[in-house]
Amino acid sequence: MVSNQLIANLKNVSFDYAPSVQVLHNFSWEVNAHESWSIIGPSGCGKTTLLYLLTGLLFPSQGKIEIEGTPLKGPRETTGLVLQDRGLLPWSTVSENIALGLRIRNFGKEQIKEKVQLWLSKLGIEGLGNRYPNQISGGQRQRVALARTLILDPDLLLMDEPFTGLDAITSESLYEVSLDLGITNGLSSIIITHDINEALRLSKKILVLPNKASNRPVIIQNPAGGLREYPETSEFQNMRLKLRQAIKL
Amino acid sequence: MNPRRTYIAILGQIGTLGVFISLWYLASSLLNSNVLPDPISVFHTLFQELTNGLLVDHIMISSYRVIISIVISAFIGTSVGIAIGMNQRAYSISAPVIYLTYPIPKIVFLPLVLLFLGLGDASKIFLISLILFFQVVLLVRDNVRGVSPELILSVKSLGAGTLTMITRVYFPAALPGLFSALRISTGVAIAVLFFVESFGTHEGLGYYILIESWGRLAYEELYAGVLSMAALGLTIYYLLDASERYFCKWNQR
Repeated sequence: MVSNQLIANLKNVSFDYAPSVQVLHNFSWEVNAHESWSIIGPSGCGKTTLLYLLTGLLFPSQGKIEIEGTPLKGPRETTGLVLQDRGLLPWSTVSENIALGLRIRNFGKEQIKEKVQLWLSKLGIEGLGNRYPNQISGGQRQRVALARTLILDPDLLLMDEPFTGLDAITSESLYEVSLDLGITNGLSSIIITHDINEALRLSKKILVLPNKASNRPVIIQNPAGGLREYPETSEFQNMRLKLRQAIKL
Repeated sequence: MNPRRTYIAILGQIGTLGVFISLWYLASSLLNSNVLPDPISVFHTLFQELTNGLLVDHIMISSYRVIISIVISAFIGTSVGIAIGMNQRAYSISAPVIYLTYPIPKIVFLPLVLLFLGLGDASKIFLISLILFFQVVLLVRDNVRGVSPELILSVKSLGAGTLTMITRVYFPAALPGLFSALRISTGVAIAVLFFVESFGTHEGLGYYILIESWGRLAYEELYAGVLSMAALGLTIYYLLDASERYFCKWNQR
């Protein structure tokens, strides 16, 4: 695969919830394969809308969205979506939650069992397979949500504030896991966040959405994103300042 | 529930039963009237009626009627509740219908039900099912509507179609509502059963209590019948409770 092949291409996209409530206006944006992106902006700026548009769960009122060169008509088999932990089935065990996508794709029982076991250990949650989501911690639930999506081997990973509401130590360990799993290096990923640190650590490109209906995306290059020692460097501090100013624009 | 709490709960229930029977004994000694026989002679009669009499048959036919009604209303009520809970248009169309028909006491339709379905089991089962149906539909519908949009979107993003959404999301979400509805309505179901068994039949606990016992002033049999009906209600309640604990393990405190 050519590294600069487009995975997502948005052309002049507009989206409004009501005639007077436009969240995106004539918005264009290109995402190359194997790039890691963050979308950052205040609440109400349309970042979650943008994510649902990319998933194929919402459709633009104008303009078009292409994923891998094909116009998007509905959820794609190979787009992974990770929402905050409310996305887990409360009535299914951790293992059943992780197996759900494989079941929908008619994988065999043995194969499912094997894969689930593998992903439980990849995410460091072995031994929790038989618990229900309300019996484990928020950080563990988020690991389950990651496993459930990554087990399907997505070519485009979309995450909506995946690490929001977790304490510092827990989110730190989840950043580590994300880096281990190649979310920043290798996968095509788009992470929605309102956390500047998170955006800088987990992505190499940052899309800043201003408060009003946007058509001029500000893109900030963050080449050191995904490097483990990055947060300790002075460059990280400079990037923080830069990003802060961009958000205020 | 942990074993210790279960143990305490069982002890509490046995204790309550003990206090109740003691008070009954005391009241019957004080009153000294055949209208309130003492518990020992009532239990004696109950035992005799169970072993020699036809009480077992009456219990069986009453259980059959009420359990079939519960199964029918659970099945239809859950299906309808899920259908209107998962679809905004179906919800909007059905809401005024349910709003208008829910408060009507269904028991007043009894004469009409009897005209259409006759005096047999069908009319009794229909009426009890109808009453339970509304409870089930309402609670199932509201539980299904309460499923968070994030959950729906994330399961859809895994590739789930309508069938998977129903079996993996809406049905399990509906179950606690179904069990609550059935538990709340057990008392009403037994009351309606008693009423519809009081005429046009020669079988069932309602008939046994009103016609066979009260009608011939057989007070001990009357109390035996009342106890049987109470036990029937209690058994159904326990069964529903146990089923909920089994099917909704995730929802336990």
